[in-house]
Amino acid sequence: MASKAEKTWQDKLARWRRRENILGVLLVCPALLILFSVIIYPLLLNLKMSFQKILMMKPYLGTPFTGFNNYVNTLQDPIFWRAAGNTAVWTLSSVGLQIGLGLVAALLLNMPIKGRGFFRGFMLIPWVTPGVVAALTWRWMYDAQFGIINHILLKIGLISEPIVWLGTYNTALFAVIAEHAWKNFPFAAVMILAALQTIPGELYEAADVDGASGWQSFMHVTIPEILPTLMLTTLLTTIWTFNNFDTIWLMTEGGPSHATEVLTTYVYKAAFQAFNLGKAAGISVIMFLMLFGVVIIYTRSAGRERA
Amino acid sequence: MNSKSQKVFAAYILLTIFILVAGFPFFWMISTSLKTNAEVITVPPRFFPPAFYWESYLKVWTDASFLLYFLNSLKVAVLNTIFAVTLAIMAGLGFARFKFKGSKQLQMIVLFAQLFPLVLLVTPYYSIMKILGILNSHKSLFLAYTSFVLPFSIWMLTNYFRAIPSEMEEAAMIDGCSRLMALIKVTIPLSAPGIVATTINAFILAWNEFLFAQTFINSPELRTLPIGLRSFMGQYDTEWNLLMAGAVISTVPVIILFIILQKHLISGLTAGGVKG
Repeated sequence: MASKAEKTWQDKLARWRRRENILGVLLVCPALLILFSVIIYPLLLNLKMSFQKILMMKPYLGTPFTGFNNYVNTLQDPIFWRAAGNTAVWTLSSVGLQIGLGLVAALLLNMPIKGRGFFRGFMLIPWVTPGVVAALTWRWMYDAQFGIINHILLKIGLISEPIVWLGTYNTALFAVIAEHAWKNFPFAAVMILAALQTIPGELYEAADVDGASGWQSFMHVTIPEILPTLMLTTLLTTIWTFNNFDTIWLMTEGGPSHATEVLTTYVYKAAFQAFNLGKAAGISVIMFLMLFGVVIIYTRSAGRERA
Repeated sequence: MNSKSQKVFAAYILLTIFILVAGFPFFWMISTSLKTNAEVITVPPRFFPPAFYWESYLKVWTDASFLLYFLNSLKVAVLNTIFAVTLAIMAGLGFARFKFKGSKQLQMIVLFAQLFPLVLLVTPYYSIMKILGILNSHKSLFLAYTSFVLPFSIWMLTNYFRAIPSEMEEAAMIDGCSRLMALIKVTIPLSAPGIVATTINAFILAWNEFLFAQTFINSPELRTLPIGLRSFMGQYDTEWNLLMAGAVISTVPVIILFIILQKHLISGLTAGGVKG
């Protein structure tokens, strides 16, 4: 049994700890209150709105609850499915390009070269450029008549006549994906490079002694060592690409005839072109569930990786 | 040449291709901004302007609305950054230095808050701001930008504060400082580089924002720079040299901030990721 003196001492310590922690709570509180009011509350409101009929142009209708009407309408809309399909193509292709290019760039930067800082700094230009500036500049480069891209491709003989990149059904999505991959691959490169630099050289020496080829040591030393970073980077770029609105809106506004319509532009049009806030809220909830699914799949597979 | 130096040589060539592709749109932006109206629509286009034509820059600056857009962006971004970073310093210290119930879960919420598509918030925001009567004002942007600047800043600063050893704080407390004073006098100065990097990152996020500004702002005199740039695009024809001069001016502050802080920015970004 603890003596009385020991007990009071423990009491004191516990009380001191509690007071300590109150300070922590006080420090965290203001930020959390703000976060609650600018994120959690709006999301809950969004959920409520998704069950209401809210037409901005017909305020006299009020905002009656209509059950799952907005969801049913959305799921029956062929353009929703077009947008969902385009979102999948857009996300998978752009993320694939970002990670692929990022990995190659990181491996090159990790070689014993002079001027690494210069190359790395230069490579980061796209990532630092404001999104609006990048999208408008690419739009200008894609210009059918005066654009530099058509000029270069014509000159090297890859195409025989100018292409209206952003105005042609079959090229528009591809063209916006190229811009987005260009803009964002540097993030993947920097993340992967940082991971590569933490791999101890002895691992490669050991692989060398065991007679591994360059490819074998890449597959059995490099990849496993950078896998956690590679997965995290893939998750982040997937979410950011899925969420992207600015690039597509500024380059094509989802056109021509929905060729580049993705879920973000679709929800935006529902809200601010059709002025149907209820339907927009419903689409938002569906998108939220999709993202949630991606994160769950990721945490599951990341957990399995560690086990 | 042995195989090793061959490899390094190949790496140089590939890296050069990489930076040419990465830098080309930036080059094209500058080149276009220095051309005359006629040179912009010359077929075939020329890579370099025959002579530097600075007129577009003057026009963009003397065009009163562009200066206004610039100042609007500056105002919104600066106010938002100060607000968000102040709250984030407090919250970051709270998360990094204290243990309390639910701390882990709250940090997860902060992390996930950054993963939302902003488009999901735009519909409820619109209704809320309509009720509050702050649509078409900079207040709406201030409120809306907090939703992504704040969680980002909290997350970055929590990581920075964790990396600062707490021994010096304890030493200050033995010398009679209160816990709070120890944090203010020791931890915050020690993490100054991290705070500066977070501030600049937060500023850039707000500076570049497009979606909310385009949705909530109606009056031309309240436009921020991204919306102002977009408005240079005409319905039928666009003066690309003017637009590109505006683009260069909008990019320069960001690039300067970035060059100053390149090292911190990169280490800050990768700190959370690499440990996995």
